Amino acid sequence: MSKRKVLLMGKSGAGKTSMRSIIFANYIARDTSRLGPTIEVLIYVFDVESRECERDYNYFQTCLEALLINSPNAEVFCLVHKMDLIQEEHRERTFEEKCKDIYRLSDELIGNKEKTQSIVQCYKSSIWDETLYKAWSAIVYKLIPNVQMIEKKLSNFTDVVEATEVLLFERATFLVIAHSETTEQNKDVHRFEKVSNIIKQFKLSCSKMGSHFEQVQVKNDQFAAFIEAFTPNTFIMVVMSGPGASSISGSAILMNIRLARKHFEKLEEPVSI
Amino acid sequence: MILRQKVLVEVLGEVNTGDVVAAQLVSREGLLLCFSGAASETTNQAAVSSALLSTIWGQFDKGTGAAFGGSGHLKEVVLECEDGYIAACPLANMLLVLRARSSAKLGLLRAKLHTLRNHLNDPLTIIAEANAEEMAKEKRKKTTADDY
Repeated sequence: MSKRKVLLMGKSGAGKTSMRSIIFANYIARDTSRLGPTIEVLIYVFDVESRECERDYNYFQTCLEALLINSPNAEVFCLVHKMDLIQEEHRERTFEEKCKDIYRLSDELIGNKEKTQSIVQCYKSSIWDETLYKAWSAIVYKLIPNVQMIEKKLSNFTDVVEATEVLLFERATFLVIAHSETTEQNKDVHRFEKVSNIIKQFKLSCSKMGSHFEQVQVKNDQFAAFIEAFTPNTFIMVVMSGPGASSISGSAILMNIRLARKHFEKLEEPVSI
Repeated sequence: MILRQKVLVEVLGEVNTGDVVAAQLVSREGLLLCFSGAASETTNQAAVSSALLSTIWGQFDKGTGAAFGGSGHLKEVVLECEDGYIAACPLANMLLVLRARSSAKLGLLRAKLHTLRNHLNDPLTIIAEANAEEMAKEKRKKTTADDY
């Protein structure tokens, strides 16, 4: 995949650095001082507790205006952050009100309601729960150009291997890029975020010990999961469940993953027009 | 080109009649690739026997190779153990192994082994070749999980 430039903006104290260190888990400060003139993605962070709403909105409008002049095809993601500070029963309503305001402001600049909806998207987030992963997963999903094709191939792979579910994670952040499942069972809606978090912690512990994380196999008599590095930009997780799961041989699954790898690697090559 | 595990388990299970208690596919390194057995056979047993069998095969191959000029020519091994028989033959780049009770008839056991091998030879050879190709590519690349 070609490298895409992302600009993460917000008022001081809004939570940008915390967010970045949690999602990217990379403690080396990125080189933010050089920004190219064309930005493809703007992620704007609104602090939901801010007392200076009008000033925040003004800043946002100025940014959006400047962005649209130089990068008319940019995508804008607005994160309404620190949602944990709002009481549970008021969260949905507060978020919707903020969304309405943001859309109204963007509409004033863009002038076309449909275009606004396609350029600007709002997500709520908090570093203390899984909404952060959900928001960033959605952002990563939108940034991948051929994600539908990846999902289609993944679905084929799932059917052939007869797995219960297969997930594709982005390599640096462990955010779920694509997933496909064969059975619609009662599943935990937040499982992606939980799994992302768990594997990332494990990967960090491995690197603290000076070793590289390559592969994980988890098995019990009802369930088997295999997580392995897949393509240069992804990890794959294959889940088999049901009474026959314990007799599934890990080596056969790993062999299948190996055989499927080159098909997915083709999708990641830069497309020449 | 993907290996359908569940179908393979069913095909292997075809021979588990009469006195044959298990059929398994073992890689040359001793990894259990596929297993189908009677109710009394567990996957753990199969995994352990796979590792042992691949070593035994390797040893016999080397031994007979010294006598007959080069290893890699061993075609079949039949072991009579205290509680049963084990028969193994090469299949693509793996080993096909059948385990049977001591009341089994050797002729029938060998016949089952050969039939199953002939049936699975073509598809598994294709898979094995593709797999070997990919493994060679991986060795050349040698990327680690933290390469970003």
